[in-house]
Amino acid sequence: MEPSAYLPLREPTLFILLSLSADNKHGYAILQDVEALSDGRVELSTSTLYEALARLLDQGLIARVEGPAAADDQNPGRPRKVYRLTPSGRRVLNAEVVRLQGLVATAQQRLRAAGSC
Amino acid sequence: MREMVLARLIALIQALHRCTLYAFPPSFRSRFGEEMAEVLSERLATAEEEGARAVVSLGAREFWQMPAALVRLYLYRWKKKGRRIRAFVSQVRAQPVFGVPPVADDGRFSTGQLLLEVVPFLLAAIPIAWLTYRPLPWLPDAGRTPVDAAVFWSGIPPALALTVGLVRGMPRWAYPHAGLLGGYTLWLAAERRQIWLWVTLLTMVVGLSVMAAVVHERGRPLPPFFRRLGGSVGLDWTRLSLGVFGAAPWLILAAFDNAYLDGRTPYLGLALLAMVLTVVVYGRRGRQERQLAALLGGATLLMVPAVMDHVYWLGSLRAVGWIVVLCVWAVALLVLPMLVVPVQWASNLAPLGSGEE
Repeated sequence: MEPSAYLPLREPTLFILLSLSADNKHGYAILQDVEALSDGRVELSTSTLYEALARLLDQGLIARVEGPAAADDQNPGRPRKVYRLTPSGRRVLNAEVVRLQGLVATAQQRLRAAGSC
Repeated sequence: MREMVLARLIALIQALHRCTLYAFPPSFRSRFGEEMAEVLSERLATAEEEGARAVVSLGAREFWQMPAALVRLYLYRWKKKGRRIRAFVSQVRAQPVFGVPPVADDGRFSTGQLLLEVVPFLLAAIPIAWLTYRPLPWLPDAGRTPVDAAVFWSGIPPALALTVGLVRGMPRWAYPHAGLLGGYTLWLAAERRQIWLWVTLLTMVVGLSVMAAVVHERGRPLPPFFRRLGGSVGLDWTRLSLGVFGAAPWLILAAFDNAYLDGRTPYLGLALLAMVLTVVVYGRRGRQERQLAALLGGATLLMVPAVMDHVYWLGSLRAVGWIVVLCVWAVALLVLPMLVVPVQWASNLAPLGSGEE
């Protein structure tokens, strides 16, 4: 499917993809990263996060893989599931960023024009 | 004391969270349930260090956002299921039918074909109108109503015509006779309270047809006679709808069941006229959707006079419910062939579409 078919992305989805664009993360790390990326504005619940992850997995934009077991894990020794961005997920993310850039450019242009009047 | 209250609050949130997980679909729960619980525990552990306010805030956010997440999740799954069903249906409908011998041109736009199609409806309409408006006193069996007398003999002509049609590979003109015969047998079955037998026989015929189609598709091709019949339906699925419309005279007889008593109702004449005109319009349409629209419009139009007649004689809309039910059944049966006959079967129609109108 074309990346444009997934656009526009919902804000949590955009932040989740953005969070996974740097490296693979498990659920808790994604939550923390989304919060940090949005300056604490977007605080996802586990249900919102996993609903979005399930949808993104189904659409093939992310993949779920076995990650290394964390030392401070509640179940030591058991590997945790981590999520990684797939190439098509990266294409969708890039397309969304381009779309947002275009939107911002148009808005700035209009505001500048309005300011000069 | 404060730590104990906080620990109990955390345990309560975790327990409630585990309970609410049951609102998610089982497959989602088995895949992500444990992980969600683990992530929540980690978040609660972090919040615990920040104090009770953070724990309460986290718990509130969890349960506040859950309904919206559930709605999105179920909506996504339903949409996906819908897409799958649509894809499956289009896949099934796109299956080519192998081994169907080429069939002759269906005679669309041919005046001869149109006349042959209209004849059975005229042959049904004329006696109905005659017996209603000009009753014949010399009819045998004075105890019977004119309708009964007409019914008694009316099964033979369509049976003969249908036999000829079957022998000739079911050209389009033969389909209304199948509907007429079907209506005849249904009428007799209803009159003699043997409707269950009729339904059983019809179910068997439909079941055998489906089995024949499956055998033809997956196993050996059927004998040429059956293949010709399949080819005839495959050429244009609206033929089946026309066959269903063939039962229209019986529909009119049922809807105007008391018309012969008053003998003056103009509505019966209007219904008969609508029936005949519908077949003419159907015969002149070049596209299947227009053909179907003609039949649907006709079925509705011929029921309108029936409703008007009942309202005129009874003075209210109370007794017209069953006529509406009849009309709904007729419309459903007319549309059914469109849903069950694969699109690919009708590929032979492509060259004909360009020549229309």
